[in-house]
Amino acid sequence: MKKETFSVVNHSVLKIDGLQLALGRKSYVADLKPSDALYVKMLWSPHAHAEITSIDIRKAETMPGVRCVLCHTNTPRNIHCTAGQGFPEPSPYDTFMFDKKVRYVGDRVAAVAAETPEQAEEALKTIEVTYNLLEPVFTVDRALEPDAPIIHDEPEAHIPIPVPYEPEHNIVAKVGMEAGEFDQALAQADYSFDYTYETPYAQHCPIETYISMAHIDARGRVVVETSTQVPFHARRIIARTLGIPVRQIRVIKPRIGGGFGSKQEMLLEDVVALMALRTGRHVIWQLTRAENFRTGRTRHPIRLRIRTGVQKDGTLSALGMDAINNTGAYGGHGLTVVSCCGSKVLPLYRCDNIHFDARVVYTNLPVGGAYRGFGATQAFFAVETQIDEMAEAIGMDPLVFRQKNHIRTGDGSPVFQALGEGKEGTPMTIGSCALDQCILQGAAAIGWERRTPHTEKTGRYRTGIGMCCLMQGSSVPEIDMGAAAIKMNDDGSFNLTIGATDLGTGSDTVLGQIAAEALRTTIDQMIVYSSDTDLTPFDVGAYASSTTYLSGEAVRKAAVKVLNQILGVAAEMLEVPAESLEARESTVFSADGRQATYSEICLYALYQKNQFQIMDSASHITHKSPPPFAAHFVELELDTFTGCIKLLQYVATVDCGTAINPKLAEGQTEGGVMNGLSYALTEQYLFDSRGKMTNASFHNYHIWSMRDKPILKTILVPSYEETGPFGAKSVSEICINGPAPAINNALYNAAGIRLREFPFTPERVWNELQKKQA
Amino acid sequence: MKTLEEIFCRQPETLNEALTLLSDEATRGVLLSGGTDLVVQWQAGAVPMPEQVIDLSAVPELKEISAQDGCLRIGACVTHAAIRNHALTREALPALVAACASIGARQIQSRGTLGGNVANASPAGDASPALLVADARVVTASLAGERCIPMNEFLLDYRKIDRHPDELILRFELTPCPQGGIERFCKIGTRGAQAISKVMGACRVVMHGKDIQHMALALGSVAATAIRLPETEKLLAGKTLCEELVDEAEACVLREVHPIADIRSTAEYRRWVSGRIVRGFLESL
Ligand SMILES: Cc1cc2nc3c(=O)[nH]c(=O)nc-3n(C[C@H](O)[C@H](O)[C@H](O)COP(=O)(O)OP(=O)(O)OC[C@H]3O[C@@H](n4cnc5c(N)ncnc54)[C@H](O)[C@@H]3O)c2cc1C
Repeated sequence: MKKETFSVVNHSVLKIDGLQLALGRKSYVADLKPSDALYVKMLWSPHAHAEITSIDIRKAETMPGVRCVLCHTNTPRNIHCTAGQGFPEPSPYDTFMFDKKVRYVGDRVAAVAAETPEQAEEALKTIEVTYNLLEPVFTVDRALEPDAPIIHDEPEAHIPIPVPYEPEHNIVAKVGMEAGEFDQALAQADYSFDYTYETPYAQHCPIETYISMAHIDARGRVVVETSTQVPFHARRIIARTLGIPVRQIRVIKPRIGGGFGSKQEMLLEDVVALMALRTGRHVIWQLTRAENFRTGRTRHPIRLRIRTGVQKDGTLSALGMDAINNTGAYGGHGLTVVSCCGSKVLPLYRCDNIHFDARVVYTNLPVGGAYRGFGATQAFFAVETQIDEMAEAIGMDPLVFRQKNHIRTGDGSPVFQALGEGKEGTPMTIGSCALDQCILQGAAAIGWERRTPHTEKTGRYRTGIGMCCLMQGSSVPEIDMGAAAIKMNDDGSFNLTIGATDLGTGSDTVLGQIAAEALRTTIDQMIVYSSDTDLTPFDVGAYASSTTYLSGEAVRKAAVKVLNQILGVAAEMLEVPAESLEARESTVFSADGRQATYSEICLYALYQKNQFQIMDSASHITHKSPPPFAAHFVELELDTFTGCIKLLQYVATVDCGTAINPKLAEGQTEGGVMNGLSYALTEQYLFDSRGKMTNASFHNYHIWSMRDKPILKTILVPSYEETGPFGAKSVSEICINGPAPAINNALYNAAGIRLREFPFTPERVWNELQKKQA
Repeated sequence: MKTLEEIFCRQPETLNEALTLLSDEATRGVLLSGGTDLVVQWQAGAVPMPEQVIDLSAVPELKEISAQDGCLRIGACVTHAAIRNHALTREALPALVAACASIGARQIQSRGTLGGNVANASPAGDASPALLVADARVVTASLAGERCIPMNEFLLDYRKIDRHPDELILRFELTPCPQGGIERFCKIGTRGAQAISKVMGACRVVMHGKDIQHMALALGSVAATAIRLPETEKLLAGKTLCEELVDEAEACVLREVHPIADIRSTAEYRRWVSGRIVRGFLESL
């Protein structure tokens, strides 16, 4: 590990937007709404699968206050993909702004913009729609049957990259890889295992639901202020959907009340933009919580069959994963999520014989999307459960089994090369891995040595300790790009503009810290502005754990260029060669003790001689996706009378390289763990027989609150990633992957039960206890 | 759609004023106490917003906790927080105190009331089992006078109570837990706060050594209303507590409850866990 003394990074500076948010200053989309904005309400499909045989909006158009009504008869029919990904997207184009067909309960039918939300609601009621009901498809098994109804039979549907796409079979994508001799290794293993796991639907539940507002500026361009993780992709997709040039659109992301992947999507923007174009007015649309649940994006439910082989000495000889990903009614992110089941999980353990085969399938259920963890969450539940089981079978402590097999610095994996984003991946060797330390420090913190086998436990309340190991990635190599520009001001401050998207994560702060460090100045000299397609450089946006590692390096490179300009001007002023100068604390020093402050330097450059603006920009793409690593530990108490689980303590260790802002890194970890605990224990989508979610509110969809928080300890275990800015890797996604497998393993340690699906509700735990007794 | 502002709300300051409003169909409105059930139901569209409302929160008689003639009186508009904190209830009604402390979270406990919880008549109302084991009587009042109805008779059916249109619930009268008596409360939900129960139960027991002198058991969310378990009580009363008796009692509970499946749990789980709750009570004695 490299030791550097940092003055700004690796310090927990305050979030630069913290005060404005704490004081409730106008920051979010809803705060920016003028008093005369039009409000949008959407008529959603009550049916899971149906053709619209007729729709009559004439009455609605004459209702009081109504200014615009949209439906498939009066809107552009441009096939597109709502997923905010690179271009061309590794996702099918299977969506129209409005279609003649509805494919899930919550699909768009018609939209109204009116002077008040109530008037818009009233107008919706007057829209007459007749449907021809089609057989709905609610399971992946049914979707794959030869006589299954075809969900996407529109001729325009296609995928813009060369991968298999078979909508006539409800198949969105297929991906796979082989390394070594999997079948043979499995057959020859001392012990082999074959289990199938199901992971459930869930939602991100950002406190700010989806919201977008559009208006027309003085030059007739449409300005969309929106709660998005992907402003530049959103601009591109709006342009495609509406059939207008990109130059006509400006997308601005103000502060955001959480995203977690759900807003890596263009979901509301096309409607408000078109309505603004048609009415010339400000148009705002925010989903209610129920709408957010039903029509917003979700975590893909995935069925995972895991086949593994292990030798008595603890060698992992075969590792196989077959995944079926239910992407719901539309295919965005389906392929990439399931690819990450393989690419972010299978390399964690050294194994010569690897098999991966995955399919993505349409159903008439809510639409999957990007969700923090992105496939790794689902797959780690399955794989880390089975890892424990293998250790048990050979009589090895599961911690020792993991220590023996986990990937290390200098290792590669055939998986890295084989699996990319809709194409082959990028070969990679691990440059930084402190997983060994994560395991040791986590074990010490939880008190792993107190762990006794479940066979020694009796009585109503039984404690169990479980663990798991995790990895993720940092950015999508060779695809994603981030750019930054820095401009110096007369007082020695700097404008940092970035396309990167802060969705509450603190990335504006973190990127400001990176710039300040490289510029040898302090964070208060940085004026950070991000995510405005007119004013900031491009960035793919906030996803794939990329902002710190990818955009951060663009920022660092831009800062180094600007620093060189500063040194050049100082050299002119002090009449010494630039190489002899040193910059620190916003001042340039010469070897003979003279100095020029940044303010003096900028004033000189702006006003005195050889004038120019000190400014520069840089772009960055990555050539690898260095994984952060983590070991999570949980101690719980199982009430065998009720099946209720009480968490006693949770320890999350993480190697994220250099933590640019340790407090924010801890915050990411704790938030992710809480989110993961909630997913593991309580969250579930319940559907009625017609495919409608029945618990679309926080009253019945239970996310965890502070009352539920166990003792939660985060340990940042440093390493140094040479390819990242100041040694940093990612931290934001990995943490959500741990709770489900760690709890499952602790349940086994408590009572000898292993579950193959979650959430671990009292009912489900009770079932397992019953089965075990029988 | 109607909004809250459009509801006509009267706020009587005396009991008589409230009863007078109730006596006349023209002024009779939906009774509002803390509003934590009602307002939510209105907003969700589960119950239509009424034309008029009588807000009871300013009637002093409804907010008293007192001990009289060997029984504890709790006014209908006493909040869960008040029950949680009051010396009399803490001393004499530990199961009710535990139940009130489990309702919603602090904010809900500070607004929600005992009368509202009972009158809402949800089988998942957490206070009811504790009231049942304390042999609660519900005292209702109208201009015509008061009625005193045993709690188990007052709860008629799913979301139905024995209240006449011109009546309000005045108070609850409860028998304090006797000296040396033990009360327990158990709630099974999905998370630490803000979770409506899958099943909950309460018991009141008087033991003499290992002999069971008095046994009252009640469960909620396992039938249309919260219920006492008379068969199981009969089985246990007067017996000496031992392992076989606990087994028998658990089996008896399974025969006595007939839960349904809903959004919060399954019928099978509810049945099984009912037995387990009672077993847990007995094993803790
Ligand atoms: C977030 C949240 C969490 C909750 N959690 C729980 C929980 O964990 N457990 C639980 O049991 N409940 C819970 N509830 C429900 C509710 O808080 C309780 O039932 C509460 O006790 C209701 O009391 P209230 O005073 O608010 O009733 P209100 O809403 O004012 O009234 C409820 C009903 O009682 C009637 N009523 C009120 N006073 C009288 C009277 N004096 N005479 C006759 N009828 C009357 C009303 O007309 C209405 O029908 C929760 C509610 C919310 C919003």
